[in-house]
Amino acid sequence: MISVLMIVHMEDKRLVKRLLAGDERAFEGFFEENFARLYRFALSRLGGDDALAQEAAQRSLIRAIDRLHTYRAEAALFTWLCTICRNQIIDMQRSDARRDKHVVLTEDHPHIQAMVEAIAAPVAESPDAEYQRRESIRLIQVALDKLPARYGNVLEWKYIEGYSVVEIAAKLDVGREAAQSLIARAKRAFADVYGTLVEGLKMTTQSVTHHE
Amino acid sequence: MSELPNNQGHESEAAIEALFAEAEPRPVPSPDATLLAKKVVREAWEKRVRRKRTLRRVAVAASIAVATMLAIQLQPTPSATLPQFAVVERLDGVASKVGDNGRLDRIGTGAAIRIGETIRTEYSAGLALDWHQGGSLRLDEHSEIVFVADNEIKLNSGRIYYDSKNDRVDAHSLLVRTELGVVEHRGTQFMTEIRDSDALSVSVREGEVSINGRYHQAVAEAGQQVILRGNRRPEERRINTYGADWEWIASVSPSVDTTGMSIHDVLMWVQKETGLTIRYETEAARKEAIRVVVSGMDEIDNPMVALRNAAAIADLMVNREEGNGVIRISL
Repeated sequence: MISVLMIVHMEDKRLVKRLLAGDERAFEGFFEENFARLYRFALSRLGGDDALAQEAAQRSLIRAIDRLHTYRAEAALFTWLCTICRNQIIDMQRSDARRDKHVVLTEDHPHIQAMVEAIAAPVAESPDAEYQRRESIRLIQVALDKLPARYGNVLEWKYIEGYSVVEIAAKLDVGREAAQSLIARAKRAFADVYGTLVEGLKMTTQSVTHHE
Repeated sequence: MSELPNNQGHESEAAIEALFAEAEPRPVPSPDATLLAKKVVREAWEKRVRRKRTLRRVAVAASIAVATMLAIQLQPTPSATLPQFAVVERLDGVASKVGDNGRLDRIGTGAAIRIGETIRTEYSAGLALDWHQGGSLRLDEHSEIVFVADNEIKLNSGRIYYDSKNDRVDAHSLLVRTELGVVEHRGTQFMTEIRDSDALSVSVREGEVSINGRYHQAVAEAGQQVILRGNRRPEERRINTYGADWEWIASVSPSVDTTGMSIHDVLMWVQKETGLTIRYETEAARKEAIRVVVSGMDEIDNPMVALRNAAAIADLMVNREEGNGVIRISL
């Protein structure tokens, strides 16, 4: 059975082909689907700096445009874009001015700070629960961004912003049934991706614990 | 961290609702930033699409020309009938054409270079090419270029120097493409270098050059060097048009037949090859240099040796001023 993700790669390949052919609608779709997601990808890696994240996303798309002919659709287009974004972020962080602004010292990292503070604090006031909550929220957002843009959007509209199926159908300019079908497919894809992320996190945590 | 059940029924719907109950909307970039980014990215895309169309047209034109020539030949030998765009005028050290699968075929003086071919110099090597569209193209050691079209090369790595010899009425502009930007000129002498794979350096000895990088554009004039490094602001600085950085160019100067040349002609050739300035101390010295015609002088390919020999023939004194690149000629 062909998985949802494999179908997406084929769509990505067709999109890139249309982009290279100068298809205006392909460009619109390419930008709309990826700029905000790349921005969020960069935001968490640049210490939440809004301006830098916007710059990183912009540079990444420009670089991607230049390298479009090298995209082989072996990975999702967004995954490929994230690799480019990661390298752009490294370049930006190498710059002296930016490094001074955004180096996060180990003891200043919120996670570490929280752990240190938790040692002295009574259990009832431990920030671990808050940290877990924030991480949970972040993981959901990461999972939504890893989905095709339309899937992530419909799930966010329905379950986070509270839009009805009818309202979602209107936003997408599709029929009610088509919107319901899309939401169902998006949920399945989200369950796959989120489950994989949680499994991966568990394995990482166990590995760290074992080494300790 | 909450997990989701594997089934797809009501439990799954409830689980997702529970999971999203604590979630927040994803952060989004500001509308202004989004508009600006879209404009900039669109410009890059449009340029990319136009470039692809231009290259496709050039490639198509070249392939048509090739096909026509092959049809005429009864026993086509493709390498002999492809149009030549340059000939190796001078070679020091080892240089090769890079064939399929990276195979290296050594080349020598007189070798013809054709569209689509790639040449590479080894360490301590250098070569000079007579460019059929006009001009002299030189390649420094450990450098590689691809001949993309009759007025376009791609510098993959290393350093090139181009002298358009703009005294020719049919002199064409040369486009030098690199991974970091495009360098275009008309009527100039300039040097382009890719450093450490992430910096494009353009040094201009004469004339003007435009540089179109991925993030910035710049214009470099005579006596200027511009370096594009990633997305940083271009670095610009004044440079000498002679000296250590330029010496490799004179080391692969193509041979010049001096028969019928005046001493003045030889000195002007030295000036062009070295970037030094020839200055006559007196009008009498200049007239003598014009009056004396070279006879019995070998072909010259070394500017400084040519300078000494020319001065000796015309009984002229040569004094090199330290620090300012001026050579004074007197009786």
